[in-house]
Amino acid sequence: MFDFSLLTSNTDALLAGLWLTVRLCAGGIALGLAGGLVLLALRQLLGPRLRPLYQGYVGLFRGTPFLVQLYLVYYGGPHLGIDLSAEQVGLFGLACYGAAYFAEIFRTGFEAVPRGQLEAARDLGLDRLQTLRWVVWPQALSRCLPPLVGQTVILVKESSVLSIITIPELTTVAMRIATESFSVLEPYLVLALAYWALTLGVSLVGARLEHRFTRHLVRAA
Amino acid sequence: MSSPLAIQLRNVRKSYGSHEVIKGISLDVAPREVVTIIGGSGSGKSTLLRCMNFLEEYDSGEILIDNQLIGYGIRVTGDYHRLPGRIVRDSLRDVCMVFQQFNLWPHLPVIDNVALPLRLVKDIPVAEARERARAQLEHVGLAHKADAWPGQLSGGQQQRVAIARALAMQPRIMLFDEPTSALDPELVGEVLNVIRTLSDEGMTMVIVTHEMGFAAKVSDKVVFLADGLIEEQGPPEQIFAAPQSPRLRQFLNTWRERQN
Repeated sequence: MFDFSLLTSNTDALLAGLWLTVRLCAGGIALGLAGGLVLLALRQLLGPRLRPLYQGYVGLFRGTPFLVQLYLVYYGGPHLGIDLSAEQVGLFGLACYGAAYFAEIFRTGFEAVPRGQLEAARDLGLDRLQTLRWVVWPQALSRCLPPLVGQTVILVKESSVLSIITIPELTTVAMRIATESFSVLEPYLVLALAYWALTLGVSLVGARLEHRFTRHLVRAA
Repeated sequence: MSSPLAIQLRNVRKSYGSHEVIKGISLDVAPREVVTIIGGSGSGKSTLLRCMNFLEEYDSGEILIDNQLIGYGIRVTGDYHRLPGRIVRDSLRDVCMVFQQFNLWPHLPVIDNVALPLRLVKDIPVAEARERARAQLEHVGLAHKADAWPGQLSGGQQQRVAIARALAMQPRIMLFDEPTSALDPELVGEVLNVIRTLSDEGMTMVIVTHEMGFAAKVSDKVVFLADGLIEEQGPPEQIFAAPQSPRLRQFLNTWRERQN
């Protein structure tokens, strides 16, 4: 029923696709996390009057399909003088799209830190940066981690959409094998397993981090 | 000539929007004096205390700590301007507050709750900061909990750690904002004992509390607040045994009825 020989004859292409997916995801997630923090920092520093800029960014990237965003920039970009390679659009697309979600996750994490925590820090003489680094950030992060991991898993899966702008990542390779061999089941089964393995990896790393950052939430002895 | 007062409040006012909560309060606290502030909820007592370490910015009047105006500078033209945070922090380095909800940092072990401000604010190396923190925990009888997480402690123990954390900064003035109000009744005593020890050691303290028995024992002066104003103040014998104002009498009666 299954004929996996066509996969073994395409091992190199599949591995190359997997490697590109891993690189794009790792880069997109790292840039997205950094971008989320930068967005949030700008939101705080620029004050309420410029807040619509932040809300506009988040609303735009969360309110439109990733697929449409990629189409717009990759196919529409050249008409606006934006001339990027497919992989550049893919990388920055993942990063910009992820940053909108990550920023909101970070925001709720920061806002959940009780006011009294900051008041104690201020009363004891910590300055704003010290308070952020030592009091607010660790607590915000421990609250953010579960949704951050969830969003990261979603981004890894969304990266399959990059196939529509000709990037030779894993989904593109699997689709090509399917088209060329007229076998649908095997390539897509392997494709699903590969994404599952990637997201499982993300979840395992996330669980370790969560464990590390929530050690203090122990039950009273 | 410099005044010998630790804290001076001169006609302090504070509003939230159109609602005025402190309506012009003047109060003197001498060094080594223990002043307790009592009053019903909404009387402005916590707000007043929080103005003293500038967690709340007062709108008008003056608050002086050791003769230094807190939070504002005066221009040559005579108007006030808000000072930058760094300067406000510096002028309040001798003042520490203990909060109703303890406000320990839950992600740090007990010892680091005490040691962190020493490291960051006083630039003391980690090892020495921990050593000092341990000594301070000893002082409140909790050296054996140094490596526990705050969440593993009882409320009374958490509050004692909070007091140790404040004391480690070697303040000359301590402010207590209802330090026992969040505690189970059987845990109140251990915290009050620590505060009493501090008063014996000559710490200048302002305490907002609902513990009248404690206020009567520990205070040099009791201030009764009602509707954002000082309704009556005096030595505890007068306030509790011979209150003058009808509102204070009613407040104490209500409190006594609840005790029975």
